[in-house]
Formats: sequence, structure tokens, C-alpha cells
Amino acid sequence: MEHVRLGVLTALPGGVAVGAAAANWSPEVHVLQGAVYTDWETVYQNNVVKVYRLMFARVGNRPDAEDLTSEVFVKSLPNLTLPSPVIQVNAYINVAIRSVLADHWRRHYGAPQADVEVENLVQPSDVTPSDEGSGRAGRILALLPDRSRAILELRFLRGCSIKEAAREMGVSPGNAKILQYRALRLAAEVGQRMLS
Amino acid sequence: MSGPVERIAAFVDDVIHNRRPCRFIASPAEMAALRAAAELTCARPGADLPDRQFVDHVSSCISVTVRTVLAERRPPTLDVRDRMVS
Repeated sequence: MEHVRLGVLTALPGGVAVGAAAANWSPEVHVLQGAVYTDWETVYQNNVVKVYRLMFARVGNRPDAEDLTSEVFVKSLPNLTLPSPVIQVNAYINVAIRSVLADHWRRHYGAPQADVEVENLVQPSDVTPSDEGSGRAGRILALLPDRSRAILELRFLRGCSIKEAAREMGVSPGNAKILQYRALRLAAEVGQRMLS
Repeated sequence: MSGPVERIAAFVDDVIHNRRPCRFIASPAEMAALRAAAELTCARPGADLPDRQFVDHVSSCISVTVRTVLAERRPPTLDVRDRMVS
């Protein structure tokens, strides 16, 4: 049920923004250069889906993605000084995302701070949710060698168990695990190349 | 879990079932593999969309937090009766 009251976006000279203040209504909000956020509700509504999708793409599961998303907003929004330019708020959210993710990888997987890379996915002009996550994952799969792509498609797209995937590929479960590990490392390299 | 192959297999099992995955100290190679695994979970259309209840719940939590913070920031008001007493 929609019950979040949406706030108002105003514009600074040289910029245009469209806002709304109505319950039970989800307007399309176009954030253009020069717009400012005047209330945290609009900041939240404009960014929550993007932040969640970014987190999901980083951690791969709903429980962690939800925890990290809420951490970003609960920690950062109360400290925002509003009104503030959209571009400044987005930068602030990006910093919070980096910090929360870095802490996640460090606490749970021992990753050193320098290993955490988060590109700016919350861009000022990036308002509507896109298929970037699934699109990028699909492109990574498409660039892999046949057997690597096959094992990862069986696991991630068809949701096969390792035994089922092994049977499909005509290998032992042990070999399927090794194949999967190598395929994921290759996928990581492909993903890195796509970013650079 | 004995080695990287087993650890990553367990991680993949967890993420494809949308469970909170096992935690372990990962080598750089394992980190690369588990990040790739996390990213590939988005290959299923719609997998990375948040639940509406979650979005609303966080909104309510923030509302309470923001109200508290704003109340703390508000400058203290001088009560006339207090001034008269002092």
C-alpha cells in the first residue's frame, strides 16, 4: 500500500524540477541540474530503489541487501541539511554506500578497505530504475567461454543445485564446483574489464 | 568448509536461494569470485527489486529518527515563568 507522503522538489535558477506533495500517488519526478531536495521523504523515495539494487548487486541476497540499504538511509538522512542541491545529496548518499559496503566486506569477509570498489551508481540524472543489474550480469555471462557460461547459467538462471548442474554438464559434483569457482573468477575478470 | 572451491560453492548455494550467505575470511581470489556470484544473482529478471513492505518499513523508521533528530536540533525555548523565578 502506498502511504509515503512525497515531498516537494524546488528548483534553483537555471534548473528545472518537478515535485509533488500528495498521499497515495507516485508521480514521475524528473531531477534536473540545479534542483534541490527540500525534505528527506523525497530524498528517500527518489533513491531507495537505486540504493537497494546497488546493494543487491554487491551482496547477492535480500537479507543483506535490506540491512545495508536501511543502514545507508537511517544513518545518512537524519544528518542531511535540507534544502540541499540534488547533486550534493547524491554525493552524500554515495559516500554512505561506500562506507556501509566497505564495513560489510571487512566485517564478514576480512576484505581490506582498499579492496572495496563502488562506482557511483546514484548519479544525479539517474532517476528511473533501470535494468542495469540484470543487463550487466547478462553481458558478463555472454562474454564467458561456453563451459563457464553453462555452469553459471545452470546455477544462477535456472537455480540448479550443484548435483543437477553436474548431471547436466556430464561431470562429477566435485568437478562442477571447481568449474563453478573458475567460472566465477573469469566472470570477475570480465566484470572488471567492463568497468574499465 | 575445507577450501576456496567449497566455500564459494556454499556462498553460491546461499545467494541463489536468497539466504544470508555464510561468512568467512576470503582470499583476494575468493573475494573476486563471491562478488561475481553476487552480481550474477541479478541475472534473473526482477531479482534485485526491493519488497514494497521493506521500503515502507524503512520509511517509517527514518521518519521516527528524523523527528527525533529535528527535535534535538530545535533551539531551546525560554519559558517566561522560569525567567521570572530566576
